[in-house]
Amino acid sequence: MSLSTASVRARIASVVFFASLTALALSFAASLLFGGAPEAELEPAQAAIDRAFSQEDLVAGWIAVDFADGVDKARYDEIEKSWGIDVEFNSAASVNTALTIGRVPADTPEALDALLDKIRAHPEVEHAEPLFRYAASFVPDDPLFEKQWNFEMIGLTRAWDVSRGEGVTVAVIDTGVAYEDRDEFRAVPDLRGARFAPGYDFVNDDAHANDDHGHGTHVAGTIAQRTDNGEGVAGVAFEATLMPIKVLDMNGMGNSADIAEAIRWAADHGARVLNLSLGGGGYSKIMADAVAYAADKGALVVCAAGNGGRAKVEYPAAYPGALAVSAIGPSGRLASYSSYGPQVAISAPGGDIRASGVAEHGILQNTIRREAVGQSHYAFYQGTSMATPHVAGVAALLFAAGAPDADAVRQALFQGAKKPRSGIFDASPRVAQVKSTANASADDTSATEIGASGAFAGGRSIRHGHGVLDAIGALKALGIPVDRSPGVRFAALVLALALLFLARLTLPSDKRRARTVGLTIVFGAAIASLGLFFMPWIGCPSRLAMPMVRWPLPLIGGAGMNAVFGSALIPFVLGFFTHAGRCRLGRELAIGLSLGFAGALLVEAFSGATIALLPFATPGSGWFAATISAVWFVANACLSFLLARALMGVPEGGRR
Amino acid sequence: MSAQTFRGTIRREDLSGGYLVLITDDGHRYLLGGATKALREEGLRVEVQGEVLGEGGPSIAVTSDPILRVTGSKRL
Repeated sequence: MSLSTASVRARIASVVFFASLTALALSFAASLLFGGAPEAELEPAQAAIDRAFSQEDLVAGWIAVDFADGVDKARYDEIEKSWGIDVEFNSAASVNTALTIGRVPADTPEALDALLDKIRAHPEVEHAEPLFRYAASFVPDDPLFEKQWNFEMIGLTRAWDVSRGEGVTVAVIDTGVAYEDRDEFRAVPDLRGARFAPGYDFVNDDAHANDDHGHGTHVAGTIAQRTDNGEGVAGVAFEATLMPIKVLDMNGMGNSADIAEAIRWAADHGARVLNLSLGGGGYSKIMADAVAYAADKGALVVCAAGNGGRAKVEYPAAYPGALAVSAIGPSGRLASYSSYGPQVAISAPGGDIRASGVAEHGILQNTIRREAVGQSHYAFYQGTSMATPHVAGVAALLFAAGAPDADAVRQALFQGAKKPRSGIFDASPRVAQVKSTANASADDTSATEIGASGAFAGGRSIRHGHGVLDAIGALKALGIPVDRSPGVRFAALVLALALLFLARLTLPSDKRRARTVGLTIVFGAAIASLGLFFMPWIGCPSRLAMPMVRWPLPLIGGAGMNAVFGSALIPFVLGFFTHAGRCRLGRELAIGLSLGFAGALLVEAFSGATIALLPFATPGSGWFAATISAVWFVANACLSFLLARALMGVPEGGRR
Repeated sequence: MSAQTFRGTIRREDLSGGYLVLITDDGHRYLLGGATKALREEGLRVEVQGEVLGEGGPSIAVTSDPILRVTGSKRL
């Protein structure tokens, strides 16, 4: 009798435990599903959002105040007197956006709320809120990284959580690169340890593309500066492979024959992205043919639009098949020196020191001193030459994330680009939002546009092309989910554990008694839903430290998540090999992995991710692809769950 | 193309890490290549001998300004 009561209690306890886990998991799923509230609802929901952040998410004693566009330092210094605080512009990008941050004396949440209410009531304040810390993203330890406002502007830290360009070769066709110690040449410190493919020097006709100018090394640094090495600055796609190719001499000048040959050479030697931060006004048929050749071979040819500051895109950017890049400064405005025209495909940060006279409004990388090629320094450069490698680097991130070809990369770059006119300019991971300047729109409409009426006729402008480069937008357009918080991953594990108890509960009682839940099952569920999460802890940052369903498969590839990892395939293969044997550990690992996949696939069903290798689901093609993908994820989650349950029914010693 | 002589003022452009331009007294702009060591001073008044290499050869300047390959120069 007493034994039976204990058994009933145990049963009730497990039901209660399961129910609470399910509720927790559902609330996570709901937060994912409804997380993207429309903009119009943001204001009334602000208090709830503020409360939803725990104290750890807030930077204690700091707030962000977004003033109306046009408010300058003198004006906010005047306004802030009545609040008793001192705010300053958040970054170089804030001068025109009027976004400030500052310390506040408020020492209790109530005092902070009261102060924020007072600030929000001011007519020249658009918004004020506590300063949030975004801890989910990888932030490199390079000491000068904070000077790289340009990387914040294109959303790089969050993009690095899913791609760093590994396995993609980017050719830098320029003045050479300071990548090796040879004769009087020295590799710059912040390229030591970066990955290089064999290159070529077309100026001196040898295999050593050393830089005797500085331009090429700066450009290479933007693409793949060694990052998280405690030295200098970061690069856009720092796990990509650089292919140094020298076509410009010590004066930064070259000829069309060398450049045409270099383009063909790079395409023939495995470069998937070609960076050409060079150009001029002369049309060359042999260079045009070379660009077409590289494009035919599947390479993306990214070129500087030009520094003429007028409506004429230079060559090679203007050749068919090239991707022309115009330059913006920290304000988001087209830089005054940047060329523009109908061939411009996209704009990217190129710096604008001219507009402000502030050196830090340029692009900072490690390069050599022109007057002493063996000497390294960190220098702020500006130009469409500097904007171009941002696009080349993000293209490498997209290839590495599984984009099948250059067309897919191109489309993702365009679809993910931000339209300056749309207003919200999510530029800073440190602060919630930075607004694009009203000036950028005014700037556009004053120019000669393709359409008569507006800056973005047909979704494209002659100044920004399809818009401003955005790594996050491009990855999303490719169907690659970008985590909003670590909670997303945790949700998959919680779901997996909930499913574990559901599977156990629904087993016939004799099988349930025979099945213990061991650590191996939990470990399997954890590595499936979180990936090799322990790798960064032991000092080995790895792309596999993400949910297994998102593991990349560049060879089979396809944009979006691949169907090999993004399905029940892996659990079924493991189940096939372990279901009948005596290897209990193997079977338990298969059970855990199946449950982890089931949980993670259920989360993906709500994440908006798309699945590749489905002929009827083109990634990024809107609600249809999203719906088909969601059905795919749910169906495969069910299969994984049923597999786990079936494996749990196998006696622990194996079938006899 | 044979060597020509130009009179003008040196301008150090601040783009692409910096390059030299000659603004001639009759208002033409040339990107300077070749023997430019003696010319790296903003506002320098010079007489330059050299060869113009066609319109807008490819360079880090990324402009349509023609390139003038300098063979000799003297300060004015």
